Amino acid sequence: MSKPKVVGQRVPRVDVPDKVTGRAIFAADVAISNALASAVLRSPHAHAKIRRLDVSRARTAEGVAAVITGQDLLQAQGLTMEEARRLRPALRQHYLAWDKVIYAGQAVAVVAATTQEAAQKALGLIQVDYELLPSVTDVETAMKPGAPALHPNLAVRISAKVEVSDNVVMRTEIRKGDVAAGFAQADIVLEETFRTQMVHQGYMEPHAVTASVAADGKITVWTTTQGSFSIRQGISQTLNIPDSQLRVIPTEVGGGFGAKAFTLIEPLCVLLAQKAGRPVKMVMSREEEFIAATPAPPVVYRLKMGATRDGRITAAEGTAIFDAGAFAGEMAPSAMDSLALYKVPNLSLEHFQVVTNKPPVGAYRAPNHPQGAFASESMLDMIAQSLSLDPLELRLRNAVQDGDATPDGVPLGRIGFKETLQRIREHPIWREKPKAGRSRGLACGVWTPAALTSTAQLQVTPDGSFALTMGSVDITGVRTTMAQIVAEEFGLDMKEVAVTTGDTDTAGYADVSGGSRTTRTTGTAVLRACQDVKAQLRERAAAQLRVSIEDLEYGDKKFWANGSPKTSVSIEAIAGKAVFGRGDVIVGHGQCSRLGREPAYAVHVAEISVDRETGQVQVERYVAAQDVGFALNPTLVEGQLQGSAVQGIGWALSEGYVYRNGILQNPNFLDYRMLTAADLPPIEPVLVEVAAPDGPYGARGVGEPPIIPPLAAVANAVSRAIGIRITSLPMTSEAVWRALKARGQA
Amino acid sequence: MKIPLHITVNGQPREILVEPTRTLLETIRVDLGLTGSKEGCGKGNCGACTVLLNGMAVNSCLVLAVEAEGQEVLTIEGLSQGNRLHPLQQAFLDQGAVQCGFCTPGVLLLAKSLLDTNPHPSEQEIRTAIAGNLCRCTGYDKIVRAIVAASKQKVAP
Repeated sequence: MSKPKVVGQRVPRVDVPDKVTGRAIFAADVAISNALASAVLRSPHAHAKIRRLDVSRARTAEGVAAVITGQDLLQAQGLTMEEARRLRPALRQHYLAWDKVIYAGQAVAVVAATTQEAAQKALGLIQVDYELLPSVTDVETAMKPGAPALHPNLAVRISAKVEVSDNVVMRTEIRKGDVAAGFAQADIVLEETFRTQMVHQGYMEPHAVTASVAADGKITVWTTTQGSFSIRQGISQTLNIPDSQLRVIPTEVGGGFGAKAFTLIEPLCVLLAQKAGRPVKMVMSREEEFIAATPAPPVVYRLKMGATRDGRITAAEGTAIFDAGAFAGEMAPSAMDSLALYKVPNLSLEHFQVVTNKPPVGAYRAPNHPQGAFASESMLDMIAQSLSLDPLELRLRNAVQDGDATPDGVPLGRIGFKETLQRIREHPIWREKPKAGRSRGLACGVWTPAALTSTAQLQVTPDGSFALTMGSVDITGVRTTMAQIVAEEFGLDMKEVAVTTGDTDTAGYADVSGGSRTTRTTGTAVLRACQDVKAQLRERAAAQLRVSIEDLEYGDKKFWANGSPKTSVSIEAIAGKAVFGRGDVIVGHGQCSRLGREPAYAVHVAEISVDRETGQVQVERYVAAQDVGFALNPTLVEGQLQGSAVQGIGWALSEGYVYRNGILQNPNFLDYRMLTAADLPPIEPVLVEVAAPDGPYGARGVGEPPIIPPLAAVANAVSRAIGIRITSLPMTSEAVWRALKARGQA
Repeated sequence: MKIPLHITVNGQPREILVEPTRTLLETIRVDLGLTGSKEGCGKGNCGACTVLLNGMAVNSCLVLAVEAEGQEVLTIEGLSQGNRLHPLQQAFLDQGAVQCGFCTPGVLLLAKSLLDTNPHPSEQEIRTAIAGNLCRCTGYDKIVRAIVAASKQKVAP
């Protein structure tokens, strides 16, 4: 490829003019005439049987158009409650409970009414007779035999080394080599238990959806989502509605970070609209987001690691307990990923997934990786301290490189881990001594994106402009980067490319935008659509010029025969023929569902100070380096690194669900403390570009890796500052002060 | 019982009837159809609903519509002059300070109120000023850079 002109450039995002002027339409801004408002009755109890649920008074209340309960959800499935208990105990009650509530905040009934006030008022008329059950919110208690059972009908016997309760819903094991022999070779063996807390993705836009049913039964849904096709599938499966009867239109997304990948309230909104015979709008409050969306799982991770005196890891052995919340998660938890950074010849990891009386967990940016890396990257730092080794050198000694195998035996292709470590080694934050009173911590992370599926359609319009339509929702600037690809491939200005995220009826299928896959997979689909269009244009140009395709040259939106630039045919002349049937339309398709596994590595350094009187940790300086393969748009890539790092720093320092007797104590932004601009220093991104063997122009996945290292990077810095290893998050000033006090240092 | 409300919104005098319980944010979004102002928490903790009331930044979810009687409200829809972006809007666009864009209207108006009173703030002053506006996408870095860049621009006449 000749030097790129549009990709690799800091092109402003195409969606931003509307976003800085208030024109962009988010889901709560959708206003369908005659739409009803709605309100949800939620369980005040962490664990209870629903003995009786009476909505009759609410149904007849003023302004109320429809009330739905779990019974209606079962009816849509064609099941009675008895059958559901017997046949489908796993039927998710997260949408709406039907015989039992398993966490405080779980939906029990939903009302649609002419006004918000009327809907809210009607909730007070619903009578629920609960039989309270003992609850449990921490995994260690929940997995002990005799703990309150959340899903007695669902219990699967899990064979584990210790006896466990029926709340243990999954156990997996990874083994490699001989751990006992590995520890025997070690000069030091360290063991520690690390704890991470439940955190919320913290997207600024609460979930919102509007559903409308046409006279013929066809349903249209406007929602804030990372994947319109995922929402269509969720509604279709929950309510037994064929895809052909469902059209999902994605709006602008006010942040998702994994939590808007799957259905949450959409099926309820559709069911209400069907019952009411009028459009219905549902908007979640911030409190509902905290108590009834899908936060990230807390993990208790005991990890033991051995190393030789010169810092070679000989073995790792651990048990990681993932808190799934109310229902078994859809993603297999794994703590292995954080150890995949290094050559660990002998490995034994046991994972448990345990249900507790808390909201069901969901995906949050690099799911489960930050929790794993908090343990393993803290452990690496402990080894470095014990052996008096530079923590970066220790990592270089053990780092995986091209051709090494991952713990599950897949050989690595071209990777940029060592290059990223080298860049940090040369960076002033590592080369120079920290200022007096400051300490530094280093940590690494890796994420391997899945390809999933994307499609793209590229049309040349009659005046020679280009129109790109894709099913991928834009959460990180996808419209911009995909338009950059088209502009690059045809030598266009950005203004000559129209780019649209279509809906489920107008665009080709695409899986969710998430998991750092969209630029790679959708980008590949767009490149293939470009190739398709190029082939069609060349064929037509060759015919028009009466030369062979091989002899064609291209530039400035024109084709000419090799050596005779004066006789050319323009794209406009070719595409314009479509009007009034003088020629075929130039429309190209591209799709992608398979790509190589191209891991992306991040290395972060936090420089912090600790106020010993208050325990307050101040991040003074922060550098986030990452192998991004190729930055299609450096500004957008930097933004991913910075935002992701700050989410991780918040996880390290201030965020966390606080439960008391099964009730969340801090379901608001005042008590659940996300970091503000005043808490933070500039976040310095360092882009390393080791091109991936596949993916557009060598691009790697970018969004997930930078949330993985910060937890340990900050903890390692704090531990070095106060001389006490912090093994439990968040490191609030209270927690750090208590640690200091316990040592008599505060 | 609804109460008549006289306010000037983005330079236009408006007269509407509102419920006494209506917040200024609801009035702006629902009664006036200006959906650029966002509700992120409804409790004054996130700043997404920030508008300028007589030039002062307020969380419009914490102000009752009737409290704004006789006052001037500036929402995000009134920040640009026709199609010409305000220097802050242009800087946010140029510097990559916008990702999802949900917090953007509130941050822009807060930044305007800052620059109106302190045309050349230091980075620390900017960070302190926008501490009430949560952003989950950017880590604030590019927002701060954009406000610095705008402060160096000649403000449009």
